[in-house]
Amino acid sequence: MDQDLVSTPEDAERARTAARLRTARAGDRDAFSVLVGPEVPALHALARRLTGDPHWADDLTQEALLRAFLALPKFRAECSLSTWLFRILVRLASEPRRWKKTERASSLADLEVPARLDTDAIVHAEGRELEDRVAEAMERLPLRQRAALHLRAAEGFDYPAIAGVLLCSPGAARMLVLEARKKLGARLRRHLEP
Amino acid sequence: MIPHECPLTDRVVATFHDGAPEQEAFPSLSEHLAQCGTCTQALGAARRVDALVAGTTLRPGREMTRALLARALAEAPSTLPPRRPHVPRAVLLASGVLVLAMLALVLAPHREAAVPAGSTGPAEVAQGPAAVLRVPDLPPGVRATFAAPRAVEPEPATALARFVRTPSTAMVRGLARELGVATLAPESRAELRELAALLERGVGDRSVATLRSALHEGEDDFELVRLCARVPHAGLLRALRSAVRGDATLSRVAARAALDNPRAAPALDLLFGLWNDLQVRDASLGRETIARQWFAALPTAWTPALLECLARSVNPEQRERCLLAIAATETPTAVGALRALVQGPRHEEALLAAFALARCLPPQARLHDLRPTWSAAIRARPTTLAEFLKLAEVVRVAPIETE
Repeated sequence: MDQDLVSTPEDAERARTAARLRTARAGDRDAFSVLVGPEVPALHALARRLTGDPHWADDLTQEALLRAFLALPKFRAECSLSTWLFRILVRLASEPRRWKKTERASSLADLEVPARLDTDAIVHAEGRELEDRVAEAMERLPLRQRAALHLRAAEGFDYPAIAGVLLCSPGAARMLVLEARKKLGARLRRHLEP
Repeated sequence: MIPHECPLTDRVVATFHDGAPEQEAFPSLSEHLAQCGTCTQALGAARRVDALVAGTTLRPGREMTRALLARALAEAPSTLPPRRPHVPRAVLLASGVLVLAMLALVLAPHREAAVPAGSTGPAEVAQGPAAVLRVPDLPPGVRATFAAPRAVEPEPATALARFVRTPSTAMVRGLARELGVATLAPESRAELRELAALLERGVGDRSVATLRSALHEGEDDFELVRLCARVPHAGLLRALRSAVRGDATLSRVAARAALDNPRAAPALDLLFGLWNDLQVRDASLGRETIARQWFAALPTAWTPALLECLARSVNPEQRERCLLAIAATETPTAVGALRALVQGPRHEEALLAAFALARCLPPQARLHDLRPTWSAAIRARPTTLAEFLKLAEVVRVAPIETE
């Protein structure tokens, strides 16, 4: 057999992804869902960090996905699809007027009544204490620092990948991460005792 | 505070925790790390911060992921816009350089005829199509003023820092003496609640004055805001609202603390004030959203206070917030008062009361005394006000335009 015809599993996967990308670019929603689906939890997690609110996180993620779908024909694969999606989300997050749908009366019908998680508010509040504190401390950080730290700590991105999302140099990404960590460490020092 | 006196700390953290490529410096940094306590401590702190952020990250499940994708794609048009031809960046760059070069060629001869150098008079304009505006030199005194480095103002020694972080100052000793406790340095929400309970029992003018001054000086302090939000003192709560007014995060922290105190008397005035501030500050923050976030998980003990507030308040906005809050609590004890309001003369308020009734009414209750469309809407138990208005066939009439 010809050696060139034997491909590794990675090559085959790459070829499948490229084929899906072509199909998705032509407007195939299923192909888009398969391509983007694995990234949605991470996108939503970042959206939640950036907005501090689950409903707005839903709005932001949906808007980012919609824009990605519409702009997919223009995606030139100069970076990974994941980086491109995160970039769209972070850019949108800095312009809330473009995606905030939770307005006074018009779209309230879309909201669902939150389930009552616990009848005892004290128990519930204590259980969420650490989560609340981290969320509050993160909320105090500037948006880019928040995004940089989240991408590094929660998603495991390295500096060049963060730089790709935030459209800055790896050195600037490093400064954003270190600065965010220092501020967060100072705010949460009681929870950081070894 | 994480000490950062060592100039290599950032590089150490970036190399050993973030995997930044500093291969050539790696051996020397390893040696440094083995000897430097500051860097070791900072490295540990960085790892703990990242673990905390990663550990508190919330991710949607499979169902929600699918729903998000489906909802996003449902908004997309059926056909995508046609793809524009891709022009390589090099071509764009080259054309940009060409245009700039042509401009430079056109403007170059006139630059020679600019203003004579050394002019100190008023702004002069050179003659010709490429006139250059020259600003005269500033007098030496003025330049010196601009060049002088600004004095760095020291961070205000906040009362908060004295209050929470160093429990040995006169203020803390004074407060502790007044309350009969040894120390005042709440470490957790439970301790904070205990402290607030102590203050509730023993709150005196001195304690209030201390907390007020701490609020005034202690900018951006979550613990202090939480503590004050739990002390049932009208003056202190007013001071708190005014301290957090311009800050959405602190306003939310205060509201959360006030709501996280279900056994104390409800601080409704504070909550409604914060509600107003948040809504005014952020026009997209829906009033119904706030009601759900704040009141949905509360025990029913707050309902009488909400009803009392509804009975005594004449402020329409406050009454509206009360009704939305009651709707969020879904308490059957409010049904009597809501029925009376539904049949009241104010149409807007009656509608809101009917929506609250829809959320609070037990399934078997009778509704024959209400308007038929409203009864049907109430029976349907709509989850949102918008849904209720639609069911009740309420048509919003646009304002009549006058010429």
